[in-house]
Amino acid sequence: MSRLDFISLAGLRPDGRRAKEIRRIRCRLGVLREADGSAYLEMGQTKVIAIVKGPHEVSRRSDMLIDKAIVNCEFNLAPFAGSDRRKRRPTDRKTVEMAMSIKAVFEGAVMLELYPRTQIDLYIHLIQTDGGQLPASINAASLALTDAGISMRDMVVSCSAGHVDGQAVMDLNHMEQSHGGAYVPLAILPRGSEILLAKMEARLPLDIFQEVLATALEACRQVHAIMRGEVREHHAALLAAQLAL
Amino acid sequence: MEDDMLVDELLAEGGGDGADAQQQDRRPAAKGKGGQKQASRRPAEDLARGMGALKVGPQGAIVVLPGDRVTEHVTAAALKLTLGTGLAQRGDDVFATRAGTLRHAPPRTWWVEGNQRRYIPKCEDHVLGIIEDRSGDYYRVNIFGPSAALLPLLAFDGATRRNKPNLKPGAIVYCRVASANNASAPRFPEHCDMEPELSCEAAGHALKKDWMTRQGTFGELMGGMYARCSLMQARRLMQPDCAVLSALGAELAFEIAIGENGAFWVNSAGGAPATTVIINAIRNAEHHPVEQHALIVRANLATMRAKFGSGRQGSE
Repeated sequence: MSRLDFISLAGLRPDGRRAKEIRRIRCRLGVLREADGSAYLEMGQTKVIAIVKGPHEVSRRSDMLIDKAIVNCEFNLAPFAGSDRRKRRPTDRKTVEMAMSIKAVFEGAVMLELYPRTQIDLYIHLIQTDGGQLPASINAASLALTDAGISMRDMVVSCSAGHVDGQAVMDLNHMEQSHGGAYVPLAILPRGSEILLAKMEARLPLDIFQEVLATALEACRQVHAIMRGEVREHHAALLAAQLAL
Repeated sequence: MEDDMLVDELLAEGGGDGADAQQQDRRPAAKGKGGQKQASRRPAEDLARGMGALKVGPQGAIVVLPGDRVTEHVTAAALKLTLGTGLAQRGDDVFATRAGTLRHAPPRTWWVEGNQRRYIPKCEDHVLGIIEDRSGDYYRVNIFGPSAALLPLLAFDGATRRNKPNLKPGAIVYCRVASANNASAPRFPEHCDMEPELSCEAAGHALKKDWMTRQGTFGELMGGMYARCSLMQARRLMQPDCAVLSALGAELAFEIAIGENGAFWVNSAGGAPATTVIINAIRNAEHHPVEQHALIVRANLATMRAKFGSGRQGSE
């Protein structure tokens, strides 16, 4: 495919979106009854289940922190998630990197000092993937933590942006992400736009990078609006169920 | 009475939140504008009335999300605040740190109620626990909180060194939390490293029954089975007019023990099928409007009776 094909003359991307359009997001809270918190999230074709366990006793005593909680993240990409069937070990380089990124994000967002000497586990299961694995995982984990009632400074939201065909685009899918251009996943605390995570493994001139970053920020805000709506509805429904008492 | 309970809950629970039981003086800057405050007090008072504990109306209820700024809501009626779980002060502003409904116990206590499933121990809660093991003078009890709790071997009414209950790992006990300190707002800072302590003795002036009689409120629960629900659901089950329990009670004979830690135990005369129906009905009730609870119960019962017969045999 030639480079030009990524954005057509009409300004549409291969999946029919415009450059500054995110994919459809659908999410649900509390999908697993036995977990302390859980959420399911779709960003386009990328589908994630996040499960929160804790705060509970630290499993390895030597890891315990006297003044705050520790966050533990396990990331699992299902063998059937991508276009090729492949089983990845938990020690796989990409898996470990993903888990560490997610862990770092939530160490910055959860009010760990409220849960001293405990551990909070995040289990992320990607069951279908079409680019944007990290943003989808972070969003799902954020919703699961909200469902678990764990205190956070703000709701973490995440989305990616990239540079394709000389244009900054929002929320890359697998094809756009793997064509070799810049892919910048970003995670923020929306109030105050505090950046918790930004990654890029490509070279971009500074002015273009700024444009991409601004695009990613705007994408995060859009994601935030959708996730807020879902959490609000979830709690309104719970409230409605108990009102008649 | 209701309010007292809630304030208590706040002070002890704090659970999780830093600004717990912390008095905030929102100072002269705000006080200076007395007249203006007066004007803006009206709607806030209405709001507060609408959101009184457990009397939340759909219009008055405010759903907050982590990161929401709620300064105006919570400071409208009083300037000195007690912030409970889910609220935190940063600078001159109050923010929500959890998702849920903003609740108010007049005059000045505010907190966020969500549907948490993880229990944070607080004093005088009645909880259901599972004995894990026995070490020294204590049983270690899983109360589904952030750490195991300790139940002294002799914390049973009338227990002596020679004559005390012998609980095996896996036994289900109903007990009360005798001491719990949470580290974010410790009442006794020097004890804040300790695990919560439980007791099966009747509290204070309550009627004491020797543990041997098996007539006390607390102690081992024999037979039956336990299940878990959210903490909010457990609190609702404990209310005297709980719809789902009345609907079940009209049809089946059963015993139930509800712990504020979101665990409940059911023992039914109808055996396993009836117990299953009861547990399912209670857990499903959480997600359905109260009007439907009786319907759910009847539907579940009809299915059960079609498969297993009446489920009434042996009812007292």
